[in-house]
Amino acid sequence: MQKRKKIEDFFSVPENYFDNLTNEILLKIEKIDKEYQSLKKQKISVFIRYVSIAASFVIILFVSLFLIYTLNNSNKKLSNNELSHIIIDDLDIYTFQIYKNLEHTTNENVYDYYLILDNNESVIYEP
Amino acid sequence: MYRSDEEILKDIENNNTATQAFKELIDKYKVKLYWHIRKIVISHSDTDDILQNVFIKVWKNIYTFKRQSSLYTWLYRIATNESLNFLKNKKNKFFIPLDLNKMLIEKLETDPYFNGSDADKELQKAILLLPEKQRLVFNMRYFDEMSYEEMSEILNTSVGALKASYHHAVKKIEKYLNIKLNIYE
Repeated sequence: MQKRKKIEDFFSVPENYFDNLTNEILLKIEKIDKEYQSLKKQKISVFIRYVSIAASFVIILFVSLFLIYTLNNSNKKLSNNELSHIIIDDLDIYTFQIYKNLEHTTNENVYDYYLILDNNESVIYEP
Repeated sequence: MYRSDEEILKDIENNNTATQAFKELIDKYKVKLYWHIRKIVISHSDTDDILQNVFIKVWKNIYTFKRQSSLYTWLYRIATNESLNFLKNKKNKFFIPLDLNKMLIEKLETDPYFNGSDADKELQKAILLLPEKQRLVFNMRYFDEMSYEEMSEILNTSVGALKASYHHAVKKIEKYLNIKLNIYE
């Protein structure tokens, strides 16, 4: 009985084809892996860039809001003769009282005329 | 002599031995897969391209292989799908749809690596004239002597449907060869 032919009996392949095939595939895989890794790094750096830009915007926004708030407050205090409230910590109440009492300073720059009092309301500095 | 699929897969999962184990996997299956693909696309250079893509795809997706089927079945399924997609892309590449069977027969006629006799060529032509599914089933059953159960897993078709496809394929080939051989005589 005639033996059934295999597909290899119909077709052939170039010489040494199968010997070189494994290395060829592994080289391609290595190349693809490298490309993938560099793409991954690129994506990460792009992500970091976007995050830092977004963070900068947030910081700028907060700083601006803080400045606007502070300026608004100081303006309000100036109009209410509460100048020293934001300038001298702890002692602001005393300077405010001084300002109110010192009538001759009304039309002057308040910074030029101030007193610093300690807790016992005794003068510790007078320009 | 190659190690079992289980041992190879275990080493592929380990980063230190992955490349070496994958090399073993390629060595173990490259010839079988090559001939499986060659039967579908006929040309050596197309087969070479598809086979390389198959192994690259396997490398990329090996971690998703759930081991519900054997590695061999999984590889065959990838190779079959890649080959069929290749033909489908070729068919849709031009505005005028290509007659795929005609194109494959032309490739066979001009293939510098065809070794067979005239009768062998007629058998190959008869196979190439079959509808896609019948051609796949005939090739796997006739040349690879694959069981219907294995084919069922690879092609995702019932055993009954495969048997019917094979039966129809054999009848068509017989008819084609009878006409051709009578002409030769």
